Amino acid sequence: MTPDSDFEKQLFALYGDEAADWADDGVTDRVLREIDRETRMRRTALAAAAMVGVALSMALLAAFAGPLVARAAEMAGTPPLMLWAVMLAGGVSFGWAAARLALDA
Amino acid sequence: MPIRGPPGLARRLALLPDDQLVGLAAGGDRAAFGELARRHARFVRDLMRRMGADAALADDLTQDAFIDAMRSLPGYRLEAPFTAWIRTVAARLYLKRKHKDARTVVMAEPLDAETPDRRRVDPGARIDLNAALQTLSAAERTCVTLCHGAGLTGQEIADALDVPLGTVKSHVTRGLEKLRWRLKLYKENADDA
Repeated sequence: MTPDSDFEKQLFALYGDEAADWADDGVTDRVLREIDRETRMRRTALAAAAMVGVALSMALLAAFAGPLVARAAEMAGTPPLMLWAVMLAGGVSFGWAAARLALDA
Repeated sequence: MPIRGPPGLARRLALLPDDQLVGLAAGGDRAAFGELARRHARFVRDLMRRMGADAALADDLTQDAFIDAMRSLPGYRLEAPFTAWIRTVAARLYLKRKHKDARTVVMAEPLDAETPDRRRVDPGARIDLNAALQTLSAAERTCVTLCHGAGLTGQEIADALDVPLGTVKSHVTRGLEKLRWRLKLYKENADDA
């Protein structure tokens, strides 16, 4: 808006100085507390979404894929419980990733 | 990650420059973002007050600006320093929240030229931006602070407040003229001392 760029730079720098006549008044602590709260909320939301995702997929699997899992375990020669554990881990990872994507969007 | 980690962690973070902290925070390190807030919250609040926000509103806007910034970090590009970025985030929030008041202030004042305030500053006094800003009208103070304190363009301010660009430019030009004169007085005082 004005060609005097030295003055504008000086002014921009002056705006960066703390004002002597206004105290912090606890604003830094307030912001830190809010960041903490937001972080906790986010973590809780992530964990809840992952748990819901896992519970849903396990319920669906148990309802429709139970016999298939049992047959696959028999063919692979592993206990069915191990296959279920692998699927559980996959479900957790999927739920976590999906929740993160949703929260970042 | 808790933002109040072990004391050793806080000391390590305190030594890092802003751009590294932003990088860590963008990766999800909340302690790094906490350090950024520790460094800049006070200054963002001062900026809000210089725009005309009272203490309570300045506190609210500062808090909201940091939470907005934290949520936007994954998309943040390190083209501008964090301090410049957080200024614009806070200024946009201010314009959103105080749209009506700010618009009234900017539109209500006449655009005819005024003589700069020629009161002397105390001999030996250090540059006091707040005192210098007090010599501006409310509209000039708002426009100059949004433009030169927060880094918004005249067009952004005009669009946000729904006022003509020429009006914003006039307030900025007149405000800058007064500030330039005022800050020159401080310099002359310093040279005399």
